[in-house]
Amino acid sequence: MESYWPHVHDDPAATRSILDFADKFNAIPKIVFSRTLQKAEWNNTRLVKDNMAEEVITLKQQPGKNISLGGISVAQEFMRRDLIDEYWLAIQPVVCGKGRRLFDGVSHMIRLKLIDRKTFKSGVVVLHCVSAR
Amino acid sequence: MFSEMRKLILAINVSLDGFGDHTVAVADDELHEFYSGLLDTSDLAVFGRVTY
Repeated sequence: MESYWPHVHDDPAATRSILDFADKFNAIPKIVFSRTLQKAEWNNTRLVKDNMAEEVITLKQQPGKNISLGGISVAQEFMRRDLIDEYWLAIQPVVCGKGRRLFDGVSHMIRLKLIDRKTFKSGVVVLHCVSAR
Repeated sequence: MFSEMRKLILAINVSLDGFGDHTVAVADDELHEFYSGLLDTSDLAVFGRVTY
């Protein structure tokens, strides 16, 4: 993502809504979790190498708006620790057949409550679920 | 007190067979606007190296 979003204005195919998203994502403070990255080059980004669950537990106790989470590996780590409060699952009308499974490595039940859903013109259905813990 | 804590929210594309690879996603304006709206509710984004 670092290779695309900061340079999206150079992409003639980028629509207004893509640019809006890119600008928001570039601007928002970010944390990247990685044991192998040496430094985070992206604007407004802090690199955290270890103890990501403890980092998030600390951040959740600080005042502020929500914390957006992206990426399968990080999501799985937080699912295993039951740290995710809301799941916005954009269900795509496609069978991939291969790739990385979102819920791999989660070996306990995570009870959720569906509180809203949206259907997009593309056929994507968004399930908005909250943790029922 | 607990209800006032900021929430950790996961927003991700998922295929019908449970894969979460963003490269297979429909990525039209409506979906970008949806993700933009979620970012508006947040003041921090966290992710891993692969996403990065």
